[in-house]
Amino acid sequence: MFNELERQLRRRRTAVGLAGIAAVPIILAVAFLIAGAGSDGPSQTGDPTGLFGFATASGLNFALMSTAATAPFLLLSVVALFAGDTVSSEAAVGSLRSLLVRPIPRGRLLARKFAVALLLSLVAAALVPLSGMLAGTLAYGWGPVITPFGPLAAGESLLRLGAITGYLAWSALWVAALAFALSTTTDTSVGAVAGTIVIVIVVQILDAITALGWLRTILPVHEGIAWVGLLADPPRWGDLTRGVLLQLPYLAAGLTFAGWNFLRKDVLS
Amino acid sequence: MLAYAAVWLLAQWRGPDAGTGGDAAPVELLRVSVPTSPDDATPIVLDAALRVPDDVDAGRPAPAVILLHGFGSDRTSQDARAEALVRRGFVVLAPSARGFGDSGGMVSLADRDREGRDLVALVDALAARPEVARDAPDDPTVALVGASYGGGLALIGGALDVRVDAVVAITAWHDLAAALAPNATGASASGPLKIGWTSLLFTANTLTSGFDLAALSGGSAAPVAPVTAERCGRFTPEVCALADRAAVDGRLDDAARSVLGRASLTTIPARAVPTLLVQGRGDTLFGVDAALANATALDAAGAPVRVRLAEGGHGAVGTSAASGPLASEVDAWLDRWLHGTSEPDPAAGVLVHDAGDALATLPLGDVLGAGGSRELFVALGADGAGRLLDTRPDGDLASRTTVLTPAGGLPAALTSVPGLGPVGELAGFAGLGTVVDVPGQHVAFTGAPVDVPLLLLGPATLTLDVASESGEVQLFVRLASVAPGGLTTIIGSSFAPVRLDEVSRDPDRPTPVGITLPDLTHRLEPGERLRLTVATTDQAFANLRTPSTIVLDVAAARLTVRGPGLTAAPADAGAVGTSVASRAGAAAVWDQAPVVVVLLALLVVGVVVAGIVGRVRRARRAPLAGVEARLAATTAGPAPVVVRGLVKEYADGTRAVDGLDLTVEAGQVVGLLGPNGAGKTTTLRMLLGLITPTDGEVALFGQPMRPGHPVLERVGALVEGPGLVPDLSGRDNLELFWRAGGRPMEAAHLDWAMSVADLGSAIDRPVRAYSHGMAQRLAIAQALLGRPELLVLDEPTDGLDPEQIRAMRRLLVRLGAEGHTVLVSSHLLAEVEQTCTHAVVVLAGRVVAAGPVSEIGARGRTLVIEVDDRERARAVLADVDGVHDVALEGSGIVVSLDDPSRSADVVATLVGAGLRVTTASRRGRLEDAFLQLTGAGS
Repeated sequence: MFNELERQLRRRRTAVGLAGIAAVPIILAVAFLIAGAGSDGPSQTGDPTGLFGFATASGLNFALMSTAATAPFLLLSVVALFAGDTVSSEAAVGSLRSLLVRPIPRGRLLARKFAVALLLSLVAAALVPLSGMLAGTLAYGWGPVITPFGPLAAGESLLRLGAITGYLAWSALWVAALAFALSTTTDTSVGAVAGTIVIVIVVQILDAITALGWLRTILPVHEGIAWVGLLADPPRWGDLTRGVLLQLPYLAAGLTFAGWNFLRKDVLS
Repeated sequence: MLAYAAVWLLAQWRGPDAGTGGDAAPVELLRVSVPTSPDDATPIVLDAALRVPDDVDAGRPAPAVILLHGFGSDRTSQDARAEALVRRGFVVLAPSARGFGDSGGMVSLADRDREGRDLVALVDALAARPEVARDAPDDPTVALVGASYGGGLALIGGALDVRVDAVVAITAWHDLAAALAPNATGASASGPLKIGWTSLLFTANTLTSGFDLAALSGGSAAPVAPVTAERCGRFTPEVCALADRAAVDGRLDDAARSVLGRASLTTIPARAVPTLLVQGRGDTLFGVDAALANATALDAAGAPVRVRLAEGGHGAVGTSAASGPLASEVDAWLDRWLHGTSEPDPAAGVLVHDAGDALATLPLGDVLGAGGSRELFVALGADGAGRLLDTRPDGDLASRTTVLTPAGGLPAALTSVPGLGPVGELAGFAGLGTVVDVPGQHVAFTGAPVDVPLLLLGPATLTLDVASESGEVQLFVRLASVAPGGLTTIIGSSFAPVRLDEVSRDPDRPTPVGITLPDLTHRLEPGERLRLTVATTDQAFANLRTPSTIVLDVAAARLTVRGPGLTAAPADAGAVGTSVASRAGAAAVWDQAPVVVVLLALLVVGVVVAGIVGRVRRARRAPLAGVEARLAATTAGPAPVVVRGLVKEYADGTRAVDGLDLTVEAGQVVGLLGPNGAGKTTTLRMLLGLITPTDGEVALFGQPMRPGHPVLERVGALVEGPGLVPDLSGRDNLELFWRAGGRPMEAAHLDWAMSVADLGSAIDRPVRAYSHGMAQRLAIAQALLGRPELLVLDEPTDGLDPEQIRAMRRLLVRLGAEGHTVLVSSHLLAEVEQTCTHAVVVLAGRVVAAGPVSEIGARGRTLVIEVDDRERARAVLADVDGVHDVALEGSGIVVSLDDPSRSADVVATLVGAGLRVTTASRRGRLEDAFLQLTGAGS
């Protein structure tokens, strides 16, 4: 486990992925400062969470806005990178061979790789609010959070922010499972990662088509915005619970396929 | 870190104009004198603050905005908002209303002839300023903007003064009497008083220093200065008496309603002034119905009207429209109608979250109920549970139920806590808070879960038959959505309080009552149910104090909901309610939906776990001792490699390995020899468990091979080139590779392996910079790390230079001498002959020759002779005894002998025949076989 973690941490793509997602709040902060967006702020179109308009209210608000901005696509892409690259890239350079001729059952190897991919994804999810909080506090100071539901004390907001990060990380599980499954099928990590991102986009498009009715409700991204309910007082648990449960079938399906495929796979690379 | 420092520096640099207090525009205080009333010319002085943008003067005038504060505060509460509008290029006039702040006079509750006339005077004051742009002489370009009390005033001012060019009314009322004491029956009599709100509003202005309602709602600190209360505060005696009577009676009398009517757009004709109405969907004081009623009146007068229905209660929406996300929408409206510019152009209509949850602008007509409607049957099940049905209920269902009005009106249902800070706001907000209904005082009717999102917009109506023991009845009707988890959300601010003084006392002849639920703007999500609740009490209102038993007869009861696209009684989809018979089935499916998901997930997880457990069991069944015991078992025991009948057939039908047998005994150095594509690498892969054989058996040290088998601890391998992590250094590659097997670094022969690799300082450089030869040597070192009993090397000399190849050969020989077992593949004969004790020749996946190299070399029966005349030599040798065959090959001849000892005779015969023999050499069987096979095509 630690071996695998060290293996991934010392790879360049891990550093690039984590640094990249941590840099987004900084880029946002610079953009906000240069544009001079204030309380009479930007237009609200394209902001389903209602958090963009409050971005400059406090550092914590800025962290929330950063989270809202990165959650729908960037975070999922980074998760796809971590989970989609982990097996396929080793197959690409042949180091998978080296690992598989060691006395480790393939299932255990797979479990380690998935656990580490999830851990890195969680770190990526947590880096956004942390970096956003740091950049936002430097730019706009520390203070309570203004949400579309009303103000929240800073301490309470930290708890909520933590819960939101947890929910977002959990909501990315289906992407991790999908990318991981694809990762076991190919020797080109770009194929696994890009394939996953394409599927994520397609699913998000499907979810945007209201005419699809009930079909949308079983899409794994359908409750992707439910974390906004964690800002209400008391939190709206209904959608969150559904969102949490919604990940389970996709997680199970992805891991089952990954295991089924990898345990039988002829490693030819 | 540097990036964060840059953000901080940028923030410091931007600080002054990003903040609100840095470069505030200069404030000019105006004293505007107005008469007390049309009948009383005694002057009242209004205190107002005028702010002019830096770049605006008489030569370059700008449009003006009159900014009106809310109840219980004064003009200073608008300072930040005024600054923001000044920065947008508006001249801003912020007055304190009469009776508030430093203005004189008494509060008449937005009386059109008093507070209304004050606004006209303020527009006059702006007309006198050269900095203000004009539409005509004495007609300044001006907008009225206000929230709550200020919003109501803005609407009144817009109706009274033709010079007003735009109005923004945030959380304003339509009919003040109806807002404070609504009666959903539509009867002219007053309904129950919103006692909580009313008390709060009146208290606000009896405190001498006043306090800001918005500040309370916004959660900021309460006033710290000591406050004292006066009996009537700054209310006119008329208003003070009105409030007193209302608080005692729990309703508004006719005199009070007439006073409040003077502040209502019901009595003031609307004018075609462009108006933006912002209302909170969770506003329990001035609900969405107020905004829609105002919109209807303005629309009828020909005014462009935009209604923004936002999430939030009275205070939250007010705050948001002043300094939150809604402020930009207000700005866009002002830009559009004062500057004539706005991008995008704010359209007329009602802006609300539609059934797809996107913000959409709907035509006003749709929202007012023209878009469609659906009638639901209100029914009681046999068990007494209330239901909402799409179709007429059949069967013997109960039609009557009884609710009580408790003596003294307590306990009462808790649905909202109006206005009292964030807790109250949020509890009331969109019904997020818990709804506590008192048992026996309410009856609820619940529909089936809907299967497509439904947008409810516009008023809902309920017809019901009521009888009361006391002849008097007060009911609170509300609609809510119930999520699958049970969370009950009151729809918008849809409380319909009903007050009837004369209803039937006879339960058999109840009085029919028509109730209008004023404003529904709600999206019913799939799985949610609609719930209609009829209760006798509500803490937010003045309840009846006389106890009574109320009989509700639902035999003819109907609930009509409206919304775009709603149609009457659909056959299948989009049910709000459903029939009694089908209800159970549909509800069961929806109730079970999460359970089904969990069960499915558990099933799949179960299959996975079962698979893993099965594998673990099979692994345990294999005859394996612990790692230490296995390592202790040295060369004694079963042969390191036994392969029997091995077959690998790929999906395309090609057989890479076709019935291969191979045995490697302990201590042997075996060369697997064959041309490229003979199946050598595939065989080694199967040996190591990298690929699964189609047929046949592989055993290492007597153990049947499976992927990742523990016996691999005793094996070191290099298969088809180096497999290294390019981002890591050579040393890290070795260490991570070793630790991946779960054994400590101390157990590895790291120094020895590195000396074999002979990479020098390059060992600490990233592997991606290595040449192929360097990577190959590192890979060999990787295979040697554990000093394995069995070493499997696939083409180990590939990519090495001659010096390294020699070193490699010496290493293999040394390993063999030290008792290691080595299986090395190669397509080079010389390599095998020089390093191996045994050789196995494969072609097309089969073994064609096998045996000890030395034996093969000693017993070679083929003689290669270079001679000047090959044809004659062949003829000479044809008759020699013991010569089996003579063939021409290259520049010489190849002579096959029955007995190797006859080779001297052959050379002597050729020399004796006068031929010139240049060289003669004996060739081994191995080479024979190899050349026969590889040369078959040549």
